[in-house]
Parts: sequence; structure tokens; C-alpha cells
Amino acid sequence: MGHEGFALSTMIAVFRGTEKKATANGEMERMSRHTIQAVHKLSTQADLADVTASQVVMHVENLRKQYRDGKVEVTAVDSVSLTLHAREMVAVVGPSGSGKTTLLSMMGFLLTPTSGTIRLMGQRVDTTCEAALPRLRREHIGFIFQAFNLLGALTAVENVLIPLRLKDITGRDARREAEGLLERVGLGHRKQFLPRDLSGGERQRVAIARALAGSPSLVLADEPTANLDSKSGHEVIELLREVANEGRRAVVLVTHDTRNLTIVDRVIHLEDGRIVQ
Amino acid sequence: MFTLAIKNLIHDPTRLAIAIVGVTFSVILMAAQAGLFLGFMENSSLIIDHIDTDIWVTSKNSKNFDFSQPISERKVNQVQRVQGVATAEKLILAWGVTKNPDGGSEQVEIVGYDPETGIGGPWRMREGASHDVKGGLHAIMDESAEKHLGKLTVGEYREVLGQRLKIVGISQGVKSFTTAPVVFTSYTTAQQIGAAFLGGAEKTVFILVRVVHGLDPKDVVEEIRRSVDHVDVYTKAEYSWKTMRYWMFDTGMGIGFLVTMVMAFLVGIVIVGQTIYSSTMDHLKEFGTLKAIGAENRHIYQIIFHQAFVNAFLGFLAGMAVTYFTKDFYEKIGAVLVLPTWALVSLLMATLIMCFFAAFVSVWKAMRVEPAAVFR
Repeated sequence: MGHEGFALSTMIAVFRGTEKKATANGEMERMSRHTIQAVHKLSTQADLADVTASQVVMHVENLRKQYRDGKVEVTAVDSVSLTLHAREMVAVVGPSGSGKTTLLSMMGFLLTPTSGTIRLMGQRVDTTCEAALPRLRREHIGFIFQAFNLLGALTAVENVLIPLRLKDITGRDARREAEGLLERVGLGHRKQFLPRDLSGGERQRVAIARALAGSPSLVLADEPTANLDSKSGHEVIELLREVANEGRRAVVLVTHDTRNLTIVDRVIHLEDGRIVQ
Repeated sequence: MFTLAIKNLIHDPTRLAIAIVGVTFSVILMAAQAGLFLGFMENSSLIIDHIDTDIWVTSKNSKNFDFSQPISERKVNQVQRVQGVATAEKLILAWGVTKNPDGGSEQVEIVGYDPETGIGGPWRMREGASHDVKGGLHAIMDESAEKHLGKLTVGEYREVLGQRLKIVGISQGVKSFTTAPVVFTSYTTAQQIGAAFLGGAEKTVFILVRVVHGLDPKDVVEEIRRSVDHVDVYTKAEYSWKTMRYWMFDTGMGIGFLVTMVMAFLVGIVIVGQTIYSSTMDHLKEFGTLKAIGAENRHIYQIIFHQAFVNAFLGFLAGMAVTYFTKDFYEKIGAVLVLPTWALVSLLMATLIMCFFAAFVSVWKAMRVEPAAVFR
């Protein structure tokens, strides 16, 4: 990106100023004291290397999500409780409409549960106000999507830089980390390629590198192999396994592909929003 | 996010080109209308602005410089006696007809001034001097009149109101807003040939007053109003503005310019709005992805507004470049494009505001993107 670093760092500095102003204006005051403390504590846990395999990354208890579809109340997720440990790779399987994506969305703070509790690194975060959720996501969650969801106008390395910029990591440090992650997923030689010039497998590996940027404690992957051929799909799953083995995070994988289940530590079967196995 | 905004723009060069062309045309139209408006305004009070005087005394209810009615010369003595008046000069403006060598005729404005003081005479000469009009039926014509009167040569004779006037000089930059050529003569010549217009001898049209050094012309204006009946009295700035206002607003001409400027502004909003909106719709999924990975709404606004401002800035530069290169064309067709720095800054601001408004719908759309939608 070269000189773009200056513009981005300037912009981020402006953002910081805005954020401070927003706080001063009382926007953040709407958050509960508990929530602010929890988010702050989580955000300052910079070194996730301390997390050991026995440590709990996320614990959800009696998680429930209800929608209103016209006059009908639909329960997408019902009383789901699960614990994710560091270095653990968990697959969530189930038929279409069983609540897999809804569960993933709640674990990724994209949806607010109707009831139940979510603890991240020991801190309760389900009461976090709407305004603080983006920060929680960028600090702790890495997302991998079925359709890759790379930004088409940006090169591979620029795509990986995006979450780092959002975390205010800029300059050479950000560049070094992004390039290192692309090397890590075997795409060091294609870092200047646009997504359209990469194969499906390569795009998904860029997406994995992006998800790992900034060392999130939890990686959520939604059908990451669904759009890939079997060879590329296998490589991606192997890569996710390695990511989980690094001992710094847990990986949750939503999949329909039973071949992926042989490599995970645990399989959670969902049916009608409930864990059945 | 600025990088992403720029890259999104460059990624779709066709759309970028359409947006920039849209802004460019809008800027050209706004600049042309604003420039012509300012040019006409400047032109409408050109002679007043160039005459070195403090106060204008005119006939009662004079609406503007070009259509002032005669007043008695005796008013000059009355004005001169007013406290605070240093000098009071007479100036005639009469309408007449000149015959062209080709047999055609043109309406002209005859300006009769005192060649001894030069007050009210031409301010820039191509040939001759402003005092050359004294001593006979002499005239100075402006080179801008050549379009109406044909080639003007010093020493030739032109017939004005049935009198043969010898051209003794050619002035530059003297244009009347009425487009009638201006013919400068001595005061006595103007009074002689314009007698029919003036309604008899011992008539003048304006009294130009210089106030005693150190006095405020406004105070002297009040004094003249109290002392002299049946005249209107203005400071130079007031009379200049009154004339401008008459041509620009009382005639509806200025409203026409204003409406066209507003239309150009609205067209710009629509064109830029459409391109930004379609770009936003195409990138809606990407905005959802950004939100999912932790971007906040303000990050998304930044992208959209950066795009809008880049469109605005590039469109403004292109629009001003085209306007600059077409300036000569306007002069060739007899119009003057006046765009001082403050007008350029205002145009840039208008362009930025235009693109800012154009981005609003897109921002609203992007704001409503649910990050959870990325899993659907």
C-alpha cells in the first residue's frame, strides 16, 4: 500500500478522536457499567499466548433465539449450551434450518440472543450494547464465509490488512503481519493479486488469513469448503486444523460436508435449534 | 478506508468516468451561469464604477444609470452650495441613433462630460486622449462598438442624431449593459446634439459630487437630500448597486441565472447520487462483510463520503479546466465570464455539498445493512 499508510493512519487517528468525542458525548454511557468493564478487560488481553488448551475461550449457556415471522414465533436456537476450549476445533452440523447459522451469528456477536448467556474468555458479553459489538467482533472473532467475501477492489494483502486497520494496527507492523499470514496460508507469492485473479481455494485461504489477522481468540467458519473442489476443500480444512492447533484459539466450523468431520475434535448436531448429540 | 474508497472507484472506471462527467457538466453549467451573472452585474454598473466621484445626483425616481431623466442645470448650483460638497460636475447620458457607413443604424448611448476634468469620460484609451473631445463636434467611441458600428478609425466622421461627429479617439473596455455602443462627447456637444432627448437647453442628467476631504459621503448625501428638491441622491456604491439590482433582479434576468444554477446543482446531485447509489448497492455485501469483521457505521460512511468527495474534486477540476478553456469563446460572443476567487471557492463548496447530498441515500442504505446478513 505504500503511501496509503499515511492516509489510513490519519483516518484512524480521526476515528480515535471521534470515538473519544462520542464517549464524551455520552454515547457510551448508555452501556451498562458491567459491559464496559467486560469489553475493556477483553480488549486489553493482548497476549493470547497465555491461553492454554484447558482454558475456556467461549462458554454459552441456554442460548435461545426467537424470531417473529408474521404472526408465528419461530425459535431458531433453543437452549443451546456449549463450551469451546483453546486449540479445539468443533464442527456444527445439522439439516438446513436447524439453527447452525443463527448459533454461529450469536457466537460471533452478529445477532443478539433472546435469552441465555455468552462468556468470552471468562467475561460475560451477552449484555453488551449494540454500539460495542463491532469492537468485540474485531478484537476477538475471525470470520470465514462460504462465499469468501473478499473485497474485490483490494489485493490479497490489502484484504488481510483491513481487520488490522480496524484494530488500529497500522504501518510496517500491520504490513508485516498481513504478509506473514499470507505466507502462513501459502500465498506469499500471490499477495498482490486481486481476488478475481485467484482460484476458489486461494481466495478461501486469503479469507482465512484475514480471519487470523490480529490473532482472534475464536474463528467462526460458515461452510468454508462448500464452494470449493474436494482438493481445495481438504486443504482449507487442514489449514483450519493447523490454526486451531496453534493453541491460541478455538475454531467452530459449520459444515454439511461429512468428510470434514474426521478432522475435528468434536461434532455438535443441531436439529430444530437444539443440540441432539 | 480511504484506500478502499479510492480502490472501489478505480476498480470500476466506467462508473467513475460517468460520475466525473456528471459532476463536470454540472460544474461547467454552474460556473458558466455564475460567471456570466457576475460578468453582467459588473457590466451593468461599469461606467458608474469607473467614474471617480463620491455622490450621484439624479432625477427623481431614477431606476438606473441607463434610463435616467434630465434635470435642470440649476440644480448644479444648488448642490454646489450644500455644505460638504467640494465639486459638482455635470454629466449627460442621452440616447441617440447613429448611421453606419453601410446604411444601417444603431441606437447609441451618448455620454457628455467635461473634457477639462475628464470626470465621466473614458478610462482607457487605445488611441487619442479623453480631453480630445473638446473644441468641436468630436467623439470617442469604444472598440467594443465595432461589432455594431463596423471598423472605427480616428479621423473619420460618424453621424449621430443628424450631426457629423469626428472620431478623435478609440476607448477600450466601455460597454453598456444595454449593448448599445457608448459614444463619448464633450458636455456641450452632448447638450447640443441631444437637445431633443434632454427636452431643451440648460438640462443635464447627472450631477457628480466630490465631497470635502475627510467627510463621509453618506453625511453629505443626507445634506443634499435636505437642501435640493426633486432629485435622488446616492453614494457611488448605492447607485452602482441600484443599477445592478435593476438589471439583475427587477428585470428577472438574475432569477433566470439563479434558476439555471440551481437546476445544474440538482442535476449534479441526481447524476452523482445515482452513480454512488449503484456503487453502494454493488458493494452492499462488502459493507456487510466489513461490519461483520468489526467495522462500524462511521467506517462505512467514510468510504461512501470519500468516494463522493473524490468525484466532487475531480469533477470540479475538470469542470473548471473546461470553463477556463472556453472563456475566450464567451468573450467572442460578447459575454464576459467573471469568476473571482471567492466565486471559485463557492463553486467548489457547492460541488462538495452537491456530492455530499448525493451520498446521503447511499449512506442510509449502507447503514441498514445487517452484518448477520453475510451468512445468508
